[in-house]
Amino acid sequence: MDRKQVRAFEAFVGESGDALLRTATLLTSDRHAAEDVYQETLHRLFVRWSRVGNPLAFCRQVMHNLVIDLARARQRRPRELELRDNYDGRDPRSGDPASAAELRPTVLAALDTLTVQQRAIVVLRYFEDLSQDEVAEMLGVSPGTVKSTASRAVAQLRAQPGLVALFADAATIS
Amino acid sequence: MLKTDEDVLRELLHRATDDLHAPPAVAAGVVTRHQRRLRNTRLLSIATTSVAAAGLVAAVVVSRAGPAAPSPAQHPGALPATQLPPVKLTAAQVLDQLSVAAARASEPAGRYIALTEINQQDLSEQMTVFDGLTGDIWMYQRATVNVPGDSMPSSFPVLKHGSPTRAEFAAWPTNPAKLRTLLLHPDGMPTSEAEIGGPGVTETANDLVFDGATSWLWDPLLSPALRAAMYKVLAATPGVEVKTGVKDSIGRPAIEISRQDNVTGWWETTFESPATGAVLEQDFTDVGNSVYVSVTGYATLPLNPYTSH
Repeated sequence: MDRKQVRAFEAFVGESGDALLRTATLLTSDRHAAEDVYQETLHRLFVRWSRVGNPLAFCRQVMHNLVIDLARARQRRPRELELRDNYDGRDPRSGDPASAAELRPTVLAALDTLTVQQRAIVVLRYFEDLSQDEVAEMLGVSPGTVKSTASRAVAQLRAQPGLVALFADAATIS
Repeated sequence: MLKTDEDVLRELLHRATDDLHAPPAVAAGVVTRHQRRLRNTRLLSIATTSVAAAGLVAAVVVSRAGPAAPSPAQHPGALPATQLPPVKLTAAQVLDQLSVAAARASEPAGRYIALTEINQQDLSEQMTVFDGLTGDIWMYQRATVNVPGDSMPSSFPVLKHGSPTRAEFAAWPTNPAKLRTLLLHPDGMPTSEAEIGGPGVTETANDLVFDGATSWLWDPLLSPALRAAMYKVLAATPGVEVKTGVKDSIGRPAIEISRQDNVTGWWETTFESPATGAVLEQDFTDVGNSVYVSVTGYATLPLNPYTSH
């Protein structure tokens, strides 16, 4: 890779890095795991930079694969005590509702109740704003599966104790 | 107007993460780490310091440099070696022989394998430790720094799953045609021979195959069968040039394998042990600079090097 390509890579990361890290955080439900996934994704992208046509799509695919690997590795290990960024199960509205730091533990905890595929579909559909067809193609499933899985996942999230009130409040805002 | 559940979820996902920012240093770190990894993965090699390997190399040296004394096992009616017509092997034949040698070599035992190598340019020493079970890689280095204010870290953060594990390598095909296909599918991303070379793509399939095969050959977790298959893949790759009877930069007998990259025009070169098929040295070319790195040894470690026991 020559200097020009390195600069192009760094420019891409400068432009898309925040979004990639946020996607990784939602996919993993874990800040530290997300940082590892983000870094490994960039590494794989850099190695193949000259032959990747759509870096953003490549990164999404790699992150999804890495998250699946992580999930499998976790299944093989004994369950560990999870400390989730000060999450104590309280209603997040008791703090500053506008604060991402206050809201994040609740949202990540809720996402963690989903399967890896459900989480991927939720993140790709509602955070990345990909179409059903795009998500289906990326995950290798049918658009119908994306639709039904997303529907069930949203219903499941809506029923999470930490999110019930947030959904109810937000839905009534005109 | 009521919001749908999907709208609410969309808003929550964004609100929950909009304060997260990627550290700018990560991209620079990836670039630096990749270059260092290349130096460790493409340029370095498995050493031949074990007694068995050293014996085999010595035997090769003798057979090449020794006088033309007839071998005790030679057929009584055979011509002396000096009267035999010279036989010139093709590059593919040499690589096939290398494949046979690699298949016969023994696989390093133990979970952790440590490679030590020396950079011929600045004489820095590096040790790379591979975990055969998890694929994690640790890197340590030692160097004399002559520039005031300059420094070199003695170690680097562990590279999680920096290599396929032994079990993952075991699942790779040893059929050369299937292995070539695998080398064209990095990370399972679909890349067919026809797709490479299309608009905006700069490398040919043969570029990728040579680059991939020579990179993987460095990995000490590669099994002898897979190493042998890699040489067969190279034997069938157009543009590969082979020189026999050469030596690497620290004087070890070697077979030199090289190929000119279609895009950069650089020659990528690797030196292999004719006795074991192990990589002895690789020429790391980056932005016009060429660095030779030689492996000086390898050993198995009994413990996880990252944590104290």
